[in-house]
This record gives sequence, structure tokens and C-alpha cells, in this order.
Amino acid sequence: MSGRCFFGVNGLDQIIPEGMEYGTQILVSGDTGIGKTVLAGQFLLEGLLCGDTCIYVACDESPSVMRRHLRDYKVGVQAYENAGRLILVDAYEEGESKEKYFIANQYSLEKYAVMERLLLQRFPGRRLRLVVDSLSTLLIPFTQEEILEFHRNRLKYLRKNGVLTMDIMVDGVLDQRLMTIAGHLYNVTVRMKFGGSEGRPDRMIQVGKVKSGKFDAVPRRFGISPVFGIIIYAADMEV
Amino acid sequence: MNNTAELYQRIINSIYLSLSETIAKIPFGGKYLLEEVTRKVGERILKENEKKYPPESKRPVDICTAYLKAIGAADPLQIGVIELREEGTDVLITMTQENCIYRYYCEGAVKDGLLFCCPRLGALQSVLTNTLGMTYSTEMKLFDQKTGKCQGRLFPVKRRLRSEMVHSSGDTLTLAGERAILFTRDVYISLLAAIRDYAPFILKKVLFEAGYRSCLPLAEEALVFYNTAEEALDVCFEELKNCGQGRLELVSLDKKAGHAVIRCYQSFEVDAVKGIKLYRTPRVSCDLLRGELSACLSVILGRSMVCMEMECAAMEGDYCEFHAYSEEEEKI
Repeated sequence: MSGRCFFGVNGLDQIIPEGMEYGTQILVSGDTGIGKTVLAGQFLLEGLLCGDTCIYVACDESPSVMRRHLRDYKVGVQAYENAGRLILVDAYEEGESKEKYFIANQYSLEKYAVMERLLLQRFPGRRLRLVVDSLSTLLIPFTQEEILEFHRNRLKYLRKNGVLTMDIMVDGVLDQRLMTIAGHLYNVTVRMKFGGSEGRPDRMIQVGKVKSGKFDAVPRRFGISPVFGIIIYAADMEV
Repeated sequence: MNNTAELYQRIINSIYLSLSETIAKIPFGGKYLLEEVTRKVGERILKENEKKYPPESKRPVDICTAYLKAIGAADPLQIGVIELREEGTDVLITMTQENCIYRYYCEGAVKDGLLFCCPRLGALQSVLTNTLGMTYSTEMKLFDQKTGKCQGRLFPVKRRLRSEMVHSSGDTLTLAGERAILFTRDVYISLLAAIRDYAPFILKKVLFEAGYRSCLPLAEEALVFYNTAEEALDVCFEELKNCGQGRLELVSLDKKAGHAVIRCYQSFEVDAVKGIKLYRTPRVSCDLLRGELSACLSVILGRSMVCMEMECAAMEGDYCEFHAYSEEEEKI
């Protein structure tokens, strides 16, 4: 796929001035409530503005939460959904889902991988962005070997097919050792965590490019604006 | 007609044709200016014949008849050439083109695709405006070869396009009586670049909000003056086009469902960002227009509308396409 792509968050995009290639895999990991889904929303919006077809797999809550979240940022979700540019996949409600796209019975990683591929194959010739929020929830019942095998095959397929992928992992759900190994399979990692003092916690974000080490991995403070989403504070900015 | 009279007639027609040609190149209010010229000509003739012009009543058709009678005394060609009919506040006019002294102008304007304001209608427009104190406009159905006649209509103006009323007065520029400024592309781009440099994350939202707020009064005014949503939208689109935003086309409108598809050809915002690196990657760029369209649709359809740019000529294609949905529908 031609062209470069970005996160859609200015402070992060400045760190990667040349952008990423389609086919890049991004691992976003972090604490609960740190803003991973907000980042996912901005990543999707960036794709929509650039003409990409965006697929969001909701594993931790119903897709309606992302729908509402995007609407809060004044995104006309219906226009994109009706045009087949935004695909919200329910992997949360399972068989009870009222969504057009849903994945039921995810107790087989193989089955999930097949369903994901079938979904992606519905949009041939398009630039695709895929967000799985959170992949760690899907992986809970499986062994380390199963997870790594699934990861290798899946990411290989996505890379080969030029799908820009963002997998979200919640801290503490999977074994740390597994997370470290899995992390090495991604091109880009985004780490989001709470820092600072207990009385005055800061949100911190850190971007690393695992394979080339080209990215600046300095942690940066950020905030979440109800209007603009994630705002990365400049180094000299008082919060 | 002798040779001299024919020569003068040719000259008059050529003057009108040249006017139409020149005025078409004026960015603001070309039609308005042309109407003003034809109306003013009528006004002068009216003044010269004022004493011969006592209308029987204040009905528009009587006023026009009285005027034509007064002129007919001076110009026998008018007699029997023009028929008048009343339709509410409008006057319908049927004219035989064969003897019309302006037919070269009329035919030439059609042939060259120029703006056209019939001088005969302009004269009657002037009479009605002066006598009734109301602004009248004209609409011309050009020559029908089967009948050999032209048909026109004189009607009270509901509202003039604001963008047609641009005047330079002393050292200032006014638009519909309000102080105005003409932004060059450089100024516009500099403004965007300055916002981007200081707070890049607000750029698209600022443009959208600015478009939305600035278009609310226009849409509110259009809603008052026009009966249907299509008419009101049409006049908003005309204003936006006059202001240089590009040609807008309503592709579809479903008022009940609160859904509209609008296209913009030759969008200013597309041309403005060409060759400059405002964004990191190519993307939909017409946020000001998106805001303007959202405001127009929200006011005219009476429900909050969210308008998204689905295709942009800045990325590919010949036009930008906007899809709008009502916010209530969005929430379902």
C-alpha cells in the first residue's frame, strides 16, 4: 500500500516525522483508564480523514461505546458506517449482539484469526486500519505457546496485506514475560502509564520503534481534552 | 426601418452585449449589476415620460400597462408587441420577438452563454419598483421558436443575495451594507499556517466552527424568505459560490430521515492547500465548507445535522462530497 500514515495525535506524530508504512503493527499497552481507547478513537479518525477503511473490534465493551466516543468528538459516525468506511465489530456481546458485524464464540484463536481475515478480505484494494481493543481480553484463556503462535501468524498476514494494525493490551491481564516477547513482534510500541506523585499523577506516553530504534522513546506527559482528545504537553509546558 | 435607425439599434445591442460580457467577469454581483443597468435605463425613460404616465390603479399590471401606453406614444414599435397578464403579485409578459429592438442582444447572449437581463423587462421592473416602493426582479424565458414569442416574469424580490451587494465606498468595501474584507489566498493560508504552528490539533475544529457560526445568519435569513428547504439551500449555495467557495450541488435530500448528500466543484479550500504542507498526509480538507453546510442544513431542516466530507478533490476526483445526517438519527 502506498503512502505514509500517522496516529492522528500531533505530539506523537511529531516523534515520527516520516510516518509509518501501511502494514505497520502497533502495540499499545497501558494501565486501565489511561486513555488507550481515546488514542484508538483518534487513530480511527485519522484514518477516516485520510480515506482509509477503519475496522474496530470491540472486545471489552459494546461497539456503541466507541460510536458514542467518536460522536463526542463531533464525528458523523453514521456517514462513515453507511459508506462502509467504518466497521465496528462486536466481539463483546457475542450471540446477543445487534451489530451488523459481530464475532461470537471467540474461545478459539484459530477461529478468531479466520474471522478477522474474512472480514479484511471484504475490502479488497482499500487501505485498511484495524484496531483490536483490547486484544489482551481475547487472549486470556490461552496458553503462552498458543498466544505466540497466533500472534506470529496473524501479524505476518496483516503485514503482508498492508493492514495498519493497532492492538491494545491492558496491563496486568497477561503475563509480563509474554508481553515482552509479544511486544517484539510489533514494529511500533506505545506505552501509556500513570506517573508522577501519588497526589498529583501524570499521564505519560512513550513511543518506541522496536526494530530500528529510530523513534525517540522519551516519555511525554499528556492530557485528555473532551474536545480535542489526547494532547501531548510540550517539554516546557506547566501542567 | 431606415439604415441610420438600424445602425443605432445595432450599437445599442452591442453595448448591452459588451456589458453582459464584461459583467460576467466581475466576481461579485454580476447579475445584480446588469439588472441595475437595465433598471436605471428604464428609470431615466420613466422620468422623461412621467407626465404621460398616470396608472389606473396600484395593481402591478395596470402600472405596467400605463407605462407601456406612455412609451407607446413615443415608440410605435411597442404597440401590440407586448401582452401583460397578472398572476398574484407577479406580472407575466409575453413579447413578440420579431419586432423587438433588443433581439440581437437577446440572441447573442444566448449564443455566447452570457448573463442576460431583458431591457424591456428592466424598464417595467423600474416602473414597478418606483411606483410601489418594492424591489422587483425579472426572470426571462428566452425565445420560443414555435410561437415566435418571449415570456418573462416580474416579481417582488423576497431577498437579494448578500454577496451580490458588494460596494466599494470611499476607502471601504461593504457587503450588503456591512463592512467587508477580501481575503487573498495568501492571507487565508497564512492564517491556517499560524493556527497550525501554535496549536495544530485545533486547526480542523476551528475551521469547522468558523464555517458553522458564520453561516448561521445566512441560513436563518434564507429560511424566512423561501418556502422549501431546497429553495433555501439553493440560495445559501448561491451565496457561498459568490463568495468563492465553489459550486455546490444538492445531490439528494431526505428531509424526513434528515439525510443529505452535497457536492462541491472547484472548492476553494482544495485549491488553497495545493502546494503547501498544511497536513502531514493528504486528507479531506474542506472543513470551513463542512461547517458552513452543517449550519445551513441544521437551520433549514430544523434539526441538528452532522456533515462529513467523504470525498475530497484534494485527495482525488473532480469534486468534494459531503454526507449529512441528523444528530438524533446518529444517536439511535
